[in-house]
Amino acid sequence: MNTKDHPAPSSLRRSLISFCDRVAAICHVIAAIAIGVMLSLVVIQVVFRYVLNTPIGWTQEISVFSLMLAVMAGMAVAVWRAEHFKVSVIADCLPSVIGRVLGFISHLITITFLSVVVWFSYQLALRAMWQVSPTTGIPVGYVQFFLTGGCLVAAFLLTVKTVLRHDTISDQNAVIAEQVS
Amino acid sequence: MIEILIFTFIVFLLIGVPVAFALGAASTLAIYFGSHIPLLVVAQKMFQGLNNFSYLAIPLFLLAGALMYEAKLSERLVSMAGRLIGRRPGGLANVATTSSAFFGAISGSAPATTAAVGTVLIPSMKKSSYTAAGSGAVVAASGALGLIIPPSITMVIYGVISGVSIGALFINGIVPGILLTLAICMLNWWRGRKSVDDVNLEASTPSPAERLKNLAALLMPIIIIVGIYSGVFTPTESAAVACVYGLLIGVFLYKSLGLTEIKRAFMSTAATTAVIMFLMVCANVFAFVITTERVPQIFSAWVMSITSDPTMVMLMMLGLLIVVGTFLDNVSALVLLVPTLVAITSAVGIDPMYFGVFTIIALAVGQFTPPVGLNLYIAANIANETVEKISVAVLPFVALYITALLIFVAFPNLLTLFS
Repeated sequence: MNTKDHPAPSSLRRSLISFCDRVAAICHVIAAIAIGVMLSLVVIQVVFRYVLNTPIGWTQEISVFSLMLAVMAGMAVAVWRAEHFKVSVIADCLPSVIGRVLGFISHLITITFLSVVVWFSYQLALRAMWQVSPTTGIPVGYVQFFLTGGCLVAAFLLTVKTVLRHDTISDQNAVIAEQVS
Repeated sequence: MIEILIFTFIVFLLIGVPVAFALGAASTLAIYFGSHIPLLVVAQKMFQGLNNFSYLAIPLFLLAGALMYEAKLSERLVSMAGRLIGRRPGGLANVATTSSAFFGAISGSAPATTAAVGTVLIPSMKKSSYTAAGSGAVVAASGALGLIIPPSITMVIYGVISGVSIGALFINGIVPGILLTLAICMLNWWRGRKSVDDVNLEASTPSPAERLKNLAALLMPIIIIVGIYSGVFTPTESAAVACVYGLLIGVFLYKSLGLTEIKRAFMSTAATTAVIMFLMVCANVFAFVITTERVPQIFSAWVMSITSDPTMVMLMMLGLLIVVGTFLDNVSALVLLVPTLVAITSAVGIDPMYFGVFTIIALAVGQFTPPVGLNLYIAANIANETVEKISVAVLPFVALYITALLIFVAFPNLLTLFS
């Protein structure tokens, strides 16, 4: 995990960070599995259409749902590991105290936005429960809960990160470390 | 509403809010304080942004590239390029450029290309006559070819956002990709013309079977481009076929893909997909606000009031794309600018397909210019050199790319030969 703890972490702090690391790891695995499901379904679609000459519709729908799950689960992981794209030029030039204050404000803005999305996507999902998808008949509301769930987990992880002032390696460094390794 | 949107978005970006959340939060504030539209629309637009079959092409192209990266194809491609052009002036630099072109065609990603080629070549370049900064600069600038040479993930994203055929973008990216590769090779040759490098990348000449094995990887982009362009596959299907092909050759032919590597490819694809796609999801809310406020039309009218000459408009676009690409990563720049810029350029009669290929090349420059040029940081890390020194060494390559873009403005047909 690309994390570095503050000095003398308390046991509660350590447990919370370890819990969040585990949540992020589970979300990451869910996202990777969803990508695998998506790939399998598109391949099945190609085989049925070109080899067996029997196009099937449901694969397309489920593969889009898998993508939604992958994006929302992966988004929460990216929030915890600070992997989302950002412009850090200004913050990098400022004294560290101001940088930390700006970082705190930035987290607050993100948490507020995520909370707004959680609330309204929940409302939207409840309204969409009577609506079913065309080929699989799955209530669309369930699929919309991916948005609610992903934002909820992301908001939780970011809140823990903000409260504990838990730093993660910046997005660019994480990408570089991953690429170079 | 638009004033709130632009002001808050810029403030959020500057204080370090991630681009996706800055787009979403600014749009939410603009809707809440600047209109009577209920906030439910934010969730609705985000869900709509996720619910799109054409978006499936993005993770699948990413996965195909990740599988090839994990299969450690770079070493094979580098030795292939080394035998082709290594023992000439500027040899190692040209091997880096040619390998990047080959690898870019397979991975579709500039950072992956820079890391893959740089890891193999920068140590050899440093041992030869190159400085650490010079070798890092060549690899960083050549890595940007990964964005241009098809299949390119950036082209897929442009195609999805603008509605331009991804197949047409791919096929029209070939000519500028080759021209830029040749131009960088000429620059390398000119800079290294007084010495011949000590190229010792492959001790023995490979057997014909080994050569065929190496060429198998290069079949992947051909399958994708021919599959899409001939109309046999949709871009999404061709990406899935490329993934299966990559898995098959990685596991059975190269025997370099095991369960660990495959797992790593899926995990890295999941992470990258989430970051890119969530940005596009939030951009959908942003696009809703700017469309409601008729921003593309207002900007089009403003540009038309200055000039309606397509060449002048393209020069303005070039300036804007270079500046934005310097500060924003290419995905953020695309989702932010493409809807408006395509409207403006279409209004003066510029082909969105031509503009697409041009935009990708212009944004590729930002890939190796500070402060956000990820290729620079990767190359600096591998070369064990400061980003500042590599940033100076990369300037001739920046000039070369900008000159190429000016040529593409003057001769637009170069980017639309297959339209």
